[in-house]
Amino acid sequence: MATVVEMPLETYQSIIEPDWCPGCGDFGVLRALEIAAQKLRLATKDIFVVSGIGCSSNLPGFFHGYGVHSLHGRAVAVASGAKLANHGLHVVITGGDGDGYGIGLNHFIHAMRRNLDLTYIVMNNQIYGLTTGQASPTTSKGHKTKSTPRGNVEAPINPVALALVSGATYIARGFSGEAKHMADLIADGIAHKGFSLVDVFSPCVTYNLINTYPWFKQRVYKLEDDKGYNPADMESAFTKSFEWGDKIPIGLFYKGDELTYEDSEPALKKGPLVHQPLGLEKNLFESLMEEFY
Amino acid sequence: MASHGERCGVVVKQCEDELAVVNMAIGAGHAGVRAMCATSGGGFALMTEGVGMAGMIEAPVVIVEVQREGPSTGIPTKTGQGDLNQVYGASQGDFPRVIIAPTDTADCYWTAVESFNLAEKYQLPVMIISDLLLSEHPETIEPDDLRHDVPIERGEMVADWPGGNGPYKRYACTPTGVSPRALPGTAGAEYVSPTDEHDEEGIVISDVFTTPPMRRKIMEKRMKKMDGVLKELKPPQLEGPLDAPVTLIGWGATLGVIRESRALLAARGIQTNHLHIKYIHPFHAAEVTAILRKCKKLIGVEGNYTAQFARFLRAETGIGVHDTILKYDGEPFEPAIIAAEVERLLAGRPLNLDVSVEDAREMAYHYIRTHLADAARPTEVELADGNSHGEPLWHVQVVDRSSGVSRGQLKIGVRTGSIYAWEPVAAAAQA
Ligand SMILES: Cc1ncc(C[n+]2csc(CCOP(=O)(O)OP(=O)(O)O)c2C)c(N)n1
Ligand code: SF4
Ligand SMILES: [Mg+2]
Repeated sequence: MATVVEMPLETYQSIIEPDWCPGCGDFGVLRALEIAAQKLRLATKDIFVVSGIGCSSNLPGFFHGYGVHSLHGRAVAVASGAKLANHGLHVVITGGDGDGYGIGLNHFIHAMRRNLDLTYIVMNNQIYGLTTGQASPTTSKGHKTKSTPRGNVEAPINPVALALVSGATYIARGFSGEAKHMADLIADGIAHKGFSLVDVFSPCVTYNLINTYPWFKQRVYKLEDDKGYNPADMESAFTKSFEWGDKIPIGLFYKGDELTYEDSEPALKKGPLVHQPLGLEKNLFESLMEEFY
Repeated sequence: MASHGERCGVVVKQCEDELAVVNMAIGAGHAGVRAMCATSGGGFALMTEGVGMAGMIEAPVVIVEVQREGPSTGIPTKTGQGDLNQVYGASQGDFPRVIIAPTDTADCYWTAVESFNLAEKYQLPVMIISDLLLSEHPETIEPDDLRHDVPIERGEMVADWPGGNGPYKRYACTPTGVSPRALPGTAGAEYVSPTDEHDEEGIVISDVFTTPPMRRKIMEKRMKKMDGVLKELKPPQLEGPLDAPVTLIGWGATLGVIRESRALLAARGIQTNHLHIKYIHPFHAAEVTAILRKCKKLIGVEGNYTAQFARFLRAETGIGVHDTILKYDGEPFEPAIIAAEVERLLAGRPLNLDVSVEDAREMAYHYIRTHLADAARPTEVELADGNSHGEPLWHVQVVDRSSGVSRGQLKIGVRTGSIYAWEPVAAAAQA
């Protein structure tokens, strides 16, 4: 049997040093993505990482592959278009909670029910980091931020529960303090056929002084350690998705099996659209014209 | 189109909103397919940030904006030309883009071909500004006006990037401003396209170190592409005798109706010529200026309230039109309307915006539909002095639709169009 040589981790590192604050959770996510790519032996030319705007959305610039650092909230849409154009690419979306669960929420929900084969990693720090500390859609109730000086009065979005009702076929949660564990979740998400969400607790050490590394370290436990937990069972996934407080689960919540969008799109039967010939053959053109006669 | 997708190798995707639409199209264009999307004014408003992204990351995309009557939801069932300002002004900052206003049905076909070629060769968004009439009216055209063997020009592409080449520069500064494009999946040419300002390699220069000279050169590189685009576009030409006393200036889908109005006018002994603009941006400023300097009375004809194109023309050429013929009631221009307006302008008669007898009758029908359960119809219409209303009134008699018995009269302000009163015939009198 031929042995496949594993790519060194540097293969997946760009020449740009991340400019995140020292200790930012996003370092863990970048590392986990590199490890996942290495584990799956992905060729850098076939990886396409799309982000929006935010500290977390700077990630594609630090990863060696193709990508677009797009608009705030639009990463999922840009990635969806790229995937439809070339479904031979491994399309990964990276971004923040503000980006994906706020301004881009609409695309997020529709992408899940659409079930394109995309992997979405949300660096959920429960704050707007880049814009220096306003409340985000996942900021806890009562949390005092720049924009909620008397404490946040809005209830946070529950991304895992939302993903479950929206039809995502792979739903996991990672923690930047557990990069290896997260790398496995991301690798499985990329390998999964269909839309996968990996929501990540990625602490903002500068602007969220509540949901810190120690805060999470005290609380998180791995679903895999709960021997009775079955990620094929949507009902128990629901129950788990609402577990929040002294104990917070990370790991794989749910994995289902549905036909992907690209597999259901007839025009893609002949392979990626980008490799199909342009233009109209004469007889096809003529038969189209005949429809008007 | 969706039903032809499989046969023609086209993926048609209906999305959740126009934000998704344009961003998906840009993602697809960036990944290497020919991508286009279409919308009307409100949807285009949602797309504007994406238009700028396509300009910035140099992704080819074609966006069709079919104008209806705004503002806001406006008259979404009717046509107009009121979105020029919006399309021209779409998105923040300066970036290269093309705006084309096709002139008739066959021209739409060729405009699409040209738009894709420009979008790919110059790696930029191309906006096709059409209108509801052009986009939705049925018309018979000659089959030979359309051909299958259209030119397909994809511009400079990089097929592979061997190791010894040094880093691939997606945004290489070149004399033309066009940087040869490597599609995602090309071995050795990995890059990330950011909407933040970036250097030749796509590395952002937008944060602590913004590097002003680099920003300047990369801006110039992008904008330089417009010179190449302009050279490819056919300059507009004056139709009709150069020495005609009147020049009609139109843009987009009014080409045919302006031509027909000129024939009507010629039959009445009024000579005109006609300058019609298809390429809005980049604009043939030098050519248009040279033509218009030789013309006499310039009359702008367009389907909006503020003469958006006339303003644009003034900005591009320094030449203002002498008069305008404007329409914003949702209905398309008709040759007779344009011809009558030209005659009015030549006679020096002022514009009359009063409610006409026909208008009063139309407004009465609206009142009858909405307030009288559509069970009546207007009959005689008389002008009255209006007394306390401070303007003359139309008195419109309204009778029962089936029996013809009088139901009452409507009083409509001739100047303001206000429906001042509905005076029903007393029930006793009716019985
Ligand atoms: C349309 C638009 N609105 C607002 C902004 C400003 N903005 C940039 S990043 C950001 C929020 C970032 O928060 P998040 O997505 O959670 O990323 P983080 O920085 O926390 O990683 C905002 C509001 C923008 N760039 N574009
Ligand atoms: S502000 Fe917060 S999210 Fe942004 S880099 Fe610093 S620690 Fe990370
Ligand atoms: Mg955040």
